[in-house]
Amino acid sequence: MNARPISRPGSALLRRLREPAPPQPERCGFCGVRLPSGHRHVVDTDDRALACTCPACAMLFETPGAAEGRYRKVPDRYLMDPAHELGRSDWESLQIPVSTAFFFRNTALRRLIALYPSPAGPTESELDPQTWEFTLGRTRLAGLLEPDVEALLLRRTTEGLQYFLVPIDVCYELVGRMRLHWQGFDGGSRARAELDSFFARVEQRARVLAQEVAL
Amino acid sequence: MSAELTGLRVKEVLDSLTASGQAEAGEVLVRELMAFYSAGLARLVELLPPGVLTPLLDDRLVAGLLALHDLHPEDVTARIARAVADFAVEVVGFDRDSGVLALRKVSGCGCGSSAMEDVESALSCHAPEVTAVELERPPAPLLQIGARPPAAAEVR
Repeated sequence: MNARPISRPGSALLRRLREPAPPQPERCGFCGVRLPSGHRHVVDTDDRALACTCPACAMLFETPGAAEGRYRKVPDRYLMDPAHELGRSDWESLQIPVSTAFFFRNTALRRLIALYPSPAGPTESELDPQTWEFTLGRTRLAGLLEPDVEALLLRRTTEGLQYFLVPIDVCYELVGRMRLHWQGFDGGSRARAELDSFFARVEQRARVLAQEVAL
Repeated sequence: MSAELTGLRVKEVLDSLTASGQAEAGEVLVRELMAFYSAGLARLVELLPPGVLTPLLDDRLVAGLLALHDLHPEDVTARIARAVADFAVEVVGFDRDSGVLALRKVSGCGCGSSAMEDVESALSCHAPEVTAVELERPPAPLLQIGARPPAAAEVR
């Protein structure tokens, strides 16, 4: 005795579309190939935007003069300098209204730009770039900072100031996470937990600067 | 109108969207609307006093809609019973893992394949969990027609 299958493709489709869409795999912004998570990015210096890239396309843009230098590959290094002498008064001079901010050097504007996470996404500080230059410019990490593609990431904690040099794409990742989990006026406990785990990962990946110089 | 027919029409439209990104966008539209209606229906079912839905559950359109959104108040056994109630079949058993429903014809009448299609159509509305139907032959008649009458029985 055979079981006679009932084929109901229409109902099956509706059942499938009842569920929220599965996350779409990200694609290379240049050749369209599907990308795994943890893929690399390039900075579009004209649009001040990040684009996902596959390793092959990223390599193309490393050729000097490719696309007239418009796209710059985001490096993969995380650095920390435990000997940095930034303290609470330095943080206050930066006049950042929240506990976390990142700074990068913009080639087109020829100055530091300060951004911080907010429920609305990355928020740019309109305050005086001279102060940032004065406060951060004298640190060793600032001396190593690649324009447009790396950032100085700062976080004020109860113990003091955490200070890293990181790829700029992870800063936008942080902004995205904050935006996703932000609740209420100060972000709430979920946003704080995200922030803690994000900085724990950064700290884990970061190499101490003294070793970098010795190499 | 039924979930199946609606789904087929949606599928036809989605299949015609071939340009890059169009089919994905189409799916998103359907998903958004379904999520909205599904949330509204769920609230409706939740807020209705118990038992109010019961008289509606024999209606295929209503039952199909509730089943599609996992909002039908009855379990799969009860819904299968509803689906086959109008047909000359009885339920032998339903295997939840395989989705196979075993049915048996009740009368000796010659229910053809078109009658089975009606059963399947009712099942797809009331109990979409059923993915295949197994039809048992009616049991062999008890009376055996032999070449000779059983003479010994008559003596007793």
